[in-house]
Parts: sequence; structure tokens; C-alpha cells
Amino acid sequence: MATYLARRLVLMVPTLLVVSVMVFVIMRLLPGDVVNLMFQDLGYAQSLAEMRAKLGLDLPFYQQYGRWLGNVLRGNLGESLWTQRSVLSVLAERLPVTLELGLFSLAFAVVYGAVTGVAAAVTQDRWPDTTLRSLAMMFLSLPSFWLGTLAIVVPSIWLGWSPSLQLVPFADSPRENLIQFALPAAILGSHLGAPIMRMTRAMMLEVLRHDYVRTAHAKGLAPAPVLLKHALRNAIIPSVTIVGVQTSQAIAGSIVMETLFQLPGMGSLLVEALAHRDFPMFQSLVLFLALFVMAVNLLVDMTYFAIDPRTRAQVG
Amino acid sequence: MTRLLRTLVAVVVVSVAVLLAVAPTPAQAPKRGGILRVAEQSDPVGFDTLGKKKAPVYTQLALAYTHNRLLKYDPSGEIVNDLAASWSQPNSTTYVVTLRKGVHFHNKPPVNGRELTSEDVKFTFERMAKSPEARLFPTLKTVTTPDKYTVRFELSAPFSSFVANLAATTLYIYAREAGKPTADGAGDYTAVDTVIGTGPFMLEEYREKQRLVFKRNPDYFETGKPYLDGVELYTISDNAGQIAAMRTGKLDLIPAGRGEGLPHFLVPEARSIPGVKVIPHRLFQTSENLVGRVDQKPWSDVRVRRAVSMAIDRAGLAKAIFTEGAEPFSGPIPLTSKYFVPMDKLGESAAWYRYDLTTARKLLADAGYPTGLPIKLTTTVGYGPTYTSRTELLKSMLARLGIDAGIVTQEYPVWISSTYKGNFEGLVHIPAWTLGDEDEWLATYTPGDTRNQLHLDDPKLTELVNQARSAPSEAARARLVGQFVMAFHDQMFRVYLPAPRQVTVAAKRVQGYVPPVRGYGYAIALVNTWLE
Amino acid sequence: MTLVRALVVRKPLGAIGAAIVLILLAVALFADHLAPQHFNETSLLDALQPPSRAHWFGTDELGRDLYSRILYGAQISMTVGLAATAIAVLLGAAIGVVSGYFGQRLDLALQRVVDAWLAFPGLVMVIVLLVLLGPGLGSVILALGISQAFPQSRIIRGATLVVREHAFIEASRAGGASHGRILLRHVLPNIVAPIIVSASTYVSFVILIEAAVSFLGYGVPPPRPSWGGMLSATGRSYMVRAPWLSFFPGLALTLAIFAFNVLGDALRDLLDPRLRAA
Repeated sequence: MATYLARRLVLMVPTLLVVSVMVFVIMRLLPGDVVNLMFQDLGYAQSLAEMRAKLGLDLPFYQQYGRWLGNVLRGNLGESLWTQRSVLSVLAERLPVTLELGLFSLAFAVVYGAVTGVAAAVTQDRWPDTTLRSLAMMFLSLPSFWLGTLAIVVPSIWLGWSPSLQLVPFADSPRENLIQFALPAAILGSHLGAPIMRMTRAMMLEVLRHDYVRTAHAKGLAPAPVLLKHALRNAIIPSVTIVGVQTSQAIAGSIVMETLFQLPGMGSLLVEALAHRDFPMFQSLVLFLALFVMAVNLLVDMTYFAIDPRTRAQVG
Repeated sequence: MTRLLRTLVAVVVVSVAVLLAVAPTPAQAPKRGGILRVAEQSDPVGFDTLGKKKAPVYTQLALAYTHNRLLKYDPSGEIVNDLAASWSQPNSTTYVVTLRKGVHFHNKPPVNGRELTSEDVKFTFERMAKSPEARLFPTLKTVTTPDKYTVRFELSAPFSSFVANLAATTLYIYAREAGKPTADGAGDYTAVDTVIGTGPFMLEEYREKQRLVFKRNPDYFETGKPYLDGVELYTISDNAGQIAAMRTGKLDLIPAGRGEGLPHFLVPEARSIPGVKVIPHRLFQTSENLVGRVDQKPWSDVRVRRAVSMAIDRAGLAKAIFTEGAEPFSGPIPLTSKYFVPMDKLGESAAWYRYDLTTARKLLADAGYPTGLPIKLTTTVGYGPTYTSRTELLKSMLARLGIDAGIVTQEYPVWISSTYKGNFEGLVHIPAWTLGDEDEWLATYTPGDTRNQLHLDDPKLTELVNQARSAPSEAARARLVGQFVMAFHDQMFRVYLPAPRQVTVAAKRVQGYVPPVRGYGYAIALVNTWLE
Repeated sequence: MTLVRALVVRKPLGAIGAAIVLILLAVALFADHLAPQHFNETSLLDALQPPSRAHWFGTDELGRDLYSRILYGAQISMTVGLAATAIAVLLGAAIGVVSGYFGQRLDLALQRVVDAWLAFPGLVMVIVLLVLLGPGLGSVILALGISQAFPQSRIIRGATLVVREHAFIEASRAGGASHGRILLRHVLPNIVAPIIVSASTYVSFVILIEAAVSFLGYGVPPPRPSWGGMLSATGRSYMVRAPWLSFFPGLALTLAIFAFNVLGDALRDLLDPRLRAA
């Protein structure tokens, strides 16, 4: 177990390095450059060259990379080319928003998936099961931004309510904040919850078939305590491990939701930084998200590893 | 006797009644207090209009709250005094500006409410000279300060746009100590805490991508104003979202601040909201147009240009898309400018604005394209989906002429780095433009100007521009500009679409707000605004 | 044939999905004949008409018939969905099989690259590729195909690993069979099932992602109508003024995604009931 963990941690380093090179190279291959964006139609050759030199963009590629990497390892993520604000401070500002959206969505997904999964398994092939499964499938198929747009426009006409114009930090007003995040989290969560529901249902069915459950049933014991003690515990854990895979999807989903609901999180920052060709911002952001996804996956794999001995053989 | 008396009484009664009916109702007195909530589509990128890169639009809009210029435009587009008490022009290359006395900067450290002096103006012009805005004063030689309230400008050659450019929306007057020191002495005014001006509002809070909060400057030089206690400026990037906020009472004003007011199809929705009023008005800008490279085929042939112009059903387009009204636009001078030549004064050139497919096809055939031609039509997603939808409309109109326009959609950074600067092939769909004074407009058609997208290099026209720039009198200037405009129309270098009416949406409780004709500075109208 | 029978008999929902997919394919192929109007036929006088007998789904802001545009939109969604998935499967198989079969250091190195790609937040990779390749239908297909190839390669690698353990592979090697022969005759046939299962779900995913990137402004450019483009761009602005502009594209998208999803589910249940969703 310890060797496995050590191995995985060590393997993360070259992967991160590859990610850093990839994002660095790709950014500089993109057409349209940041200096031109800054000056637009007022760019005279001399001022463009001066700005390029000032931003260190005229150095040979490998030198730029070396400088940047060196700085990152020292904790200096640089300044946004666009606003001159420190990248670190911008990331620190944006992180809580995405984190809250992500956690809220995943919580919604797990609760939704677990509850409906259990309900569907218990009523297998009867109408509640088919209804719940169809509902899950429908949620999975509805484009989240369509649902989101409907969710914004319809209430404004019928109920005279629209989402808050600006981010209400949790510290300012917990109630307003939760209401603000509830809608995008619910929409995102319904997407993430469908696979969880499916896995929970499948696991529950398998567990329900086990002898001890049938024996208990035959003995006349009420199903509820049996369910709670054994079945649920065995069914939920594997389902929760899907959460690791969902992290990457949650990030992708948050890009769309944040843009739609105007939440200043890391998802919308990605799109903005790309549109502005803001190299330091985009690179640091991608590195950070990559690290985050890898860490979550590692955590999840460790849990799966600890729970299910069968995976140990596969990994070896 | 009684009958005479009765008649007299009746006459008096009737007269009084009539007088009361026609007498003007007493003007509503402005009320002090309240917070105005305004929406804009994007937020400022730094707070420096005279920095090293092009001044972002929303930065200019934000500084209109907190700073002043020497001169400004009143709502109807006339140049009036702002920080200047008066100005004079002793000779063709000298201008003298006398400042108002008793104007104070905001009471914030490190400026701490000290009085504005001519030194601040001199410093601002030093900053300007080191920034892209230097193009506003190409012949400026020296700026001197004979005394505390006088500034003297010496030019190396006459420049007819000098006074107008003093009202440029980037030339806000900065205090030296407010900025962060830099090596070249110009100072860095990007950060929030450097926003210290003489303007009607003080910047209290800035949350990036969310909002700006301004509060009244109690020491503003226009005593008694502003009436508002403060303004909250929200960044709501899409128009539909802005309307939704208006509907739920979260917003008071959606200005047509940067020349792209509310799309017309949203206006009926705005109008249907009780408690909201819709204010249509005009704006100092040119309209969208189709343009190609004058130094390349096929746009080099005037017959092709005229043919394209005659294939555009402007009336139909205006009726379908600009449902709140549009006026025929005959550029290149912007609408509401005193040099603007309306359609009925164009004479023969007005023919090229007619919708006439038969003549258009004949012209195209004469130019050597009897069966039409394929051509590239470049556009961008950067101006929103309604913009690219109009590109598609233009394509279908060109198709009637036999021109098969292949639409190429560029991402905004690519567009701004290449196509917008004139690096393209075929045709381009160009958005409406808001520039400064007329000289700027004309300069964009001279060789070497970075905004000369169409690569126009006509010695006669260039000569007209240069002469107009140093014209000795207003009459001379008007004549020269007029010649330029007429030649431009005859040659149809750009095929303009009609200019839509701009629409400002305001809550009914917003009083005294007159949408300014010159964009990039609606905030100056907020000085006279109050809430019921 | 037996698969089709099994689908209809045991997984009726999946059969419905398959039927919808076939209908969408037919619409995509015959859009020119089925659509009452060309997708770019503007008519300013008829702009923004609600659904009527003349225009079943109404018209858009340029007076184009929405029903026709939806039909042509099927071409884009189907083309992008199937072509991108095909690229993802081919590229993913190339990486996954090579990595899983040859193992050792090659596997270690390849998997680090795959890890790096997978570490990129999914949508970001697609958008970056789209910006790099420039706007266009081909770019969208390539970008989606390449970005989906890496998760696909993981699955294929896993399946390859399982097959590799089988005794007859060792026996074949001992008997002197070449790698190519083994791959072709033994490995590939045994990994077809998981490929089919994941591919059908990928199509729905690709269609959804295409719509999402259109929403963010990076999708298939005009004049070709794509459901995602119709839904995001003008649909959103006209939500109150002309709700049919976003309702029908949204419906079409949901239908297509739903169809491929249930089909994929049914195939998974039929082909490998032991396969757990992971």
C-alpha cells in the first residue's frame, strides 16, 4: 500500500512536468497575441516591441519556459498580462467560488444518486424504478446551459425573481449565498448524479441478491434494518468512488455554469484568460487544476484500493 | 349693466382658465439622495487611460465618474468647459487655458483634497505624450504653466482638432502623487487606490468582474451636485440578463454608454416592464459596414464597390432588424457631427445607396464579373451573436448579386491582431466605430495610419486631410472636410448599413438623465440625475 | 442479428434509442430533400414568426425557417458525433492497445503522456485545440476526437490488459506468432465489445460538448446551422422574445443525446453485464 502510494506520488511529477510543457507550448502556438490585444488598432511597431520586451515575450522560448518554471517552483506565479494583478491573488479569490460550486454540486449529486439509486433498486422493474431511471437519463441528456438559461429567464417572468447581480460571499449572507449557488449546483448535480444513481442501483441489486439478505427476509425480519446495516454500506462506498472521476467533469461543468450564472470562479477565469491570451494566468490555472484532479484521483484510488482487494491484483 | 358685468366676469374667468391651462407646470425640484444602480457589459481593465497600452473602453467609462477633463461635451454634443474656466487662442499655434479656481481632488491619501493646479495639467500631458494617446496632439511642442491657474500650449504647426481633443475621454487630469512611481516618471495608475480625481463621485469599492461602487464627492466644484448619494455599477455581460435585472427591480439604468445600446429586439421587452421607460437617442458614431482592401482586387474597382452598395436592401434591413428606428447613414464622418452630410445633400452619390439589383449586376458585369464571384467575408464572434447573424444576412444579400461570400469567423484575439488592422483578403464586416474628433476619423484614411484597414492611399484625399488639419478657420475646415466626404461617397470605399437609434433604458424614478450624444462618458450626465 | 433481436426483446428502451438514432441519421443524410427551405434562405419580412402552418417551428431573426435549420442541424450533430468518436476510437485504440500489449517501459512512458492529457480539465483541452486549429467543422471534429481519444485509450488499455493475461496469447507467442498476428486475430476481436459500449456513450458526450463549446463561442461557425450554435448564440438573446428559437434546438439536442445514451446503456447491459460503470 505504501509502495503503491509512493509510486503514484513519484509518477505525478513527470506528468505535471509534461502538463506544464504542453500548456506553455500550446499557449504560444495560439494565433493572435496578447500585445496586439493590448494595443488593438493603436499599435505602432515600436510600442509593440517595447511592450513585448517588457513582458519578456521576446526571449527565446526555452528561456521563457525556464524562467517561468523556476518562478513557479519558488511560489511566484507571476502577474496577469492583462490586469497586472498577481496571479496568486486572483486564483485565491476565484478558488472559493468554484470550490463551493463543486462541493455543492457533488453533494447534490451524491444525495440525489444515492437516494434514487436505493429507491430504484428496492422497487426493481416496477414503475418507481423505471420512472427514476428515465428521469436520471433525461437529466443526463439535457444540456446544462439550456436548463440554466430556462432557469434564469422563466422565474424572472413568472415570479419576478432573478439571480443576484453579484456574488454574495458566504461571510456576508449565508442564506443569499446558498440560494445563489443552489440553482447552478442543482443543474450540475443532476448531470453528475446520474452515473452515481446507476452505480448505486447496480450495487444495491447485487447486495440484495446476497444470501444473508434473502435469509433475513425469509426469517421474516423487516427489510429496513437489514438494508440500513449491510446493503447501504456496501453499495454507497463504490458509488462514492465515482466522485473522483466526476471531479474532472465537475470542473468542465463549472466552466459553463459560472459563465452562465456570472459567478467569478476558476472556470470562467479559464475562458477569460484564454480569450485574453493571458499566459501566466492560464498556465498557472491549468497546472493548479491538473494537480487538483490528480490529487483527487489518487485519493479516490487509495480508497478504492483499501476497500476492494481485487483492484490490487489488477494494478500489479 | 348686469349683462355687461356678467360678460366681463365670464371673460375674466375664461382668460384665467386659459392662462392656467397653458402656463408651464413648475419644474420638479431635484431631490437629493439615493443610490443609482447601473449596468455595463464589462468592467474596467485597470484604471489608467494614459497608460502604456490602449485605454480600455470600460476604463474610460469608469473614470468619467471620478475624474474631469479640461473640456467636455454637453448632452447635445457641444464642447463646453469642465475644469477650464475659459480658453483662448492668441495665434494659430498657441492656446491658453485658464483653470477654475477652488477645484479640489478627492479627500483621499496621498492627495488629501488639495487644490487642482496647472501643474496637474502639465503632468497629465507628460503622461499623455508617453502613451498611445499621443496621437491626439501630433504637433504639440510645449506645455508651460505661467501661473497656478494658467496652462499654455505651444504647437509646432496649426492643428484644427486641438480644442476638441482637450475633451477626449482619455485625457482625464491626474494628480502626480496619486500614482505608483515608475522609472519614466509617468506613474502607474492601474490600481484601485490610485483612482483619485476631481470628479463628482469617488471610487469606494471595486470587485473584479462584479461591481464598482461610487459615492458622492462632497467637495465637488459644482455646488449642490451630484444629487445622488452614490452609484453602484454592475457588470452584467449579457443584455438579456440586464433586462431581467431591470424587471425584478434590481437595476435603474442601462445606458448606451459605448455606442452599442440595447439590441432592438429586446426593447419591446424592456418597454413592457411597468416602472421602466425607454429613451431613444442618437450617438456620435459610424455604423457597421462592409469593406475590402482598396489596393487589391476586387475592391480596387469602384464599380464593384458601388454594385455591392446597391445590393444591400437597407430599408428592408432597417425595418426587420432595427425595429426601434434607424436613419440612413452616409459616412465616413459620424452621425451628429456638424460635418455630417445627410443623404439628401449627397447629390449624385446618393444613387449608390439605392437598392437596385439590376444596375448592380450591370456594374459588376462591367467590372469583369458577369456571373458574380466567390469572395471571403471575415467576421468575428467577439461582438456577440447578433453581430454574426447580421454577417449572415449580408452574405445572403450578396448572394442575390451572384457574389458567393464564404464566411470566415475569427476568434476575437485573432481578429484584432490581423483582420481589424487591415491584414485580410476579400471583404470584412466591420462594426460601428466611436472615435474622437473629426480629425481622427479623417486620419484613418491616410497611408501609414494603423487604423487604415482598407489600405487607402489616395494623394488627393491625403492632401485634403492634411489641409483640414491645419485649416486656418472653421469655414475653411468645413469646406475641406466637405470635399473629402463627397469624394468618399462617390468612391463608396465603405458600404455602410443604416445607423440604428440607440436606446437607453431607465427606471421611471430616474429623473434628469439626458443620454449624451458623445459616448464613453454617460457618467457626466449622472451629475444632473436624481431619483424620485 | 441476434444483437438486434436481443435489443428489441430485452432492452426496449435501448431499441427506442436505436430507432431514434436511425431516424436522425436518415434526417442528416436526406436533409436536402426533407427540408422545406434551404437553411440560409433569409426573408426579413418573416422574421421572428412563432410556429405556424407555414413554418412548423417558426422563423428566426433573419426569417429563416427553423424546422429546416433543425433538420440541417442534424447533419452537423451526426457528423461531429460520429466522426469525432471514430477518431477517438481509432486514436484511442492505437494508444491503448500498444500501451497495454507491449507493457513495460513503453506503457509507463505512454501512460504519463495520457495522464497529462487527462489532467487537463476536459473542456479546456477542447477549447484550446479549437483555438489552435481555427474555426471550422473539421477543427471541431478533430478537437473533439483528439480530446476524447485519451479517456478512450484508458478503457481500451484496460481491456487489452485483461486479454493479454489469457493463456492462449502466451501459447501463440511460444508458437512463434508475430505480434501483429496476435493483435489482429486475438486481441482486437476481444476488445471490440468494450469499444462499442464506450463508443456509443461517447457519441452523446461529443454532441453535448459540441453544444457546450458553441455556447462559449467556439463552435461550428456560420452559415452551417448547428443545434448548439442555435441554442446558445441567438437562442439565449431571444429567450423572451422568441422562445421557440431555443426550445426546438434544445429539444433536438436532448433527443439525440438521450438516444445515444440509452443505446449505449442497453449495449453495455447486453454485451458485458459484468462491466461496472467506472
